[in-house]
Amino acid sequence: MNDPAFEPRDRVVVGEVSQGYKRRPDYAQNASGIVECVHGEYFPPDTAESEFLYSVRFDPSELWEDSESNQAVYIDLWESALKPDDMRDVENERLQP
Amino acid sequence: MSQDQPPDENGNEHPVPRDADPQARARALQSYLIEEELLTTDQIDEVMSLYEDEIGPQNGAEVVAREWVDAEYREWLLEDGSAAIAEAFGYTGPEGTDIVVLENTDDVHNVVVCTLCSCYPWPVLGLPPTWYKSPPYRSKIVKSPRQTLRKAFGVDIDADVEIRVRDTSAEVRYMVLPLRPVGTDGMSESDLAALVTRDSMIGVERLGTKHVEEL
Repeated sequence: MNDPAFEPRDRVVVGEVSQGYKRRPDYAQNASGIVECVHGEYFPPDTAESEFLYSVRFDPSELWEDSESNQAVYIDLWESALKPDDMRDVENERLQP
Repeated sequence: MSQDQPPDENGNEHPVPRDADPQARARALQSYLIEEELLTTDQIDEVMSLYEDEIGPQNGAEVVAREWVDAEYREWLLEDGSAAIAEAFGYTGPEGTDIVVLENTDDVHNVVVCTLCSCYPWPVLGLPPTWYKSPPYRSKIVKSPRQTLRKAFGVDIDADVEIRVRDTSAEVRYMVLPLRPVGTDGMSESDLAALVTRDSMIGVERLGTKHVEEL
């Protein structure tokens, strides 16, 4: 059994839909979020290999230009959809306004 | 029926428009599966009656009411929702082997959506309502939850309450744990269960700010 690549509080980016299981919401593409939890290992419907599944918290301003305040979106995402966000860390919340 | 669709990129024709009456499509699919002996009408009736009579939001309501009266159960439920629901009530099965229970508080309101289709926790809530599956709900609640809750559901969430939208798009299913309504001290677990609505467990209703007499 492998270890998950990410842990809670890690900054991650949702990658392009090019490899791995493709089912993921379009609106989250390239958005940066924070891992809330590791749900565990599951089998994506189109593969025989298990994969870690995460809940990732996104600030709505990462997703839309005209977002509401005091809101967050949590999306369940497979490990193959995520990359480490090297540009940011949690302490340095936003680089660009 | 309206006009046919143009052939797709592979040159295949699709005589049934995508927006065709889903009931007609379901009927056509059903008669084909029966004709091919892949399914019997008895099997269909059995599943239908199961979800009409036995599996529905009354299941989730029992879970919520137990949580309201039993602090130990509450801890278990938040720690491991699937186990707490399956072991205490026997509710588990398709679209609900992994259930995460989301706790509403005075500062947090959770609301559940599946933007990609209609993922929903069947063992505790039954089959999803039509609006939950509709494109307007799926696209609006995730982008403007506060406005959607107000306009579409008549629910005002205070500006200082964080709204957490849960886009359930993979294997985990979510159920919202509403706050206990005001004025319910001393009520029995079964009377409390009768107050818990389906909508409050999806998150398009907020019970905690209501008085029992408003329910």
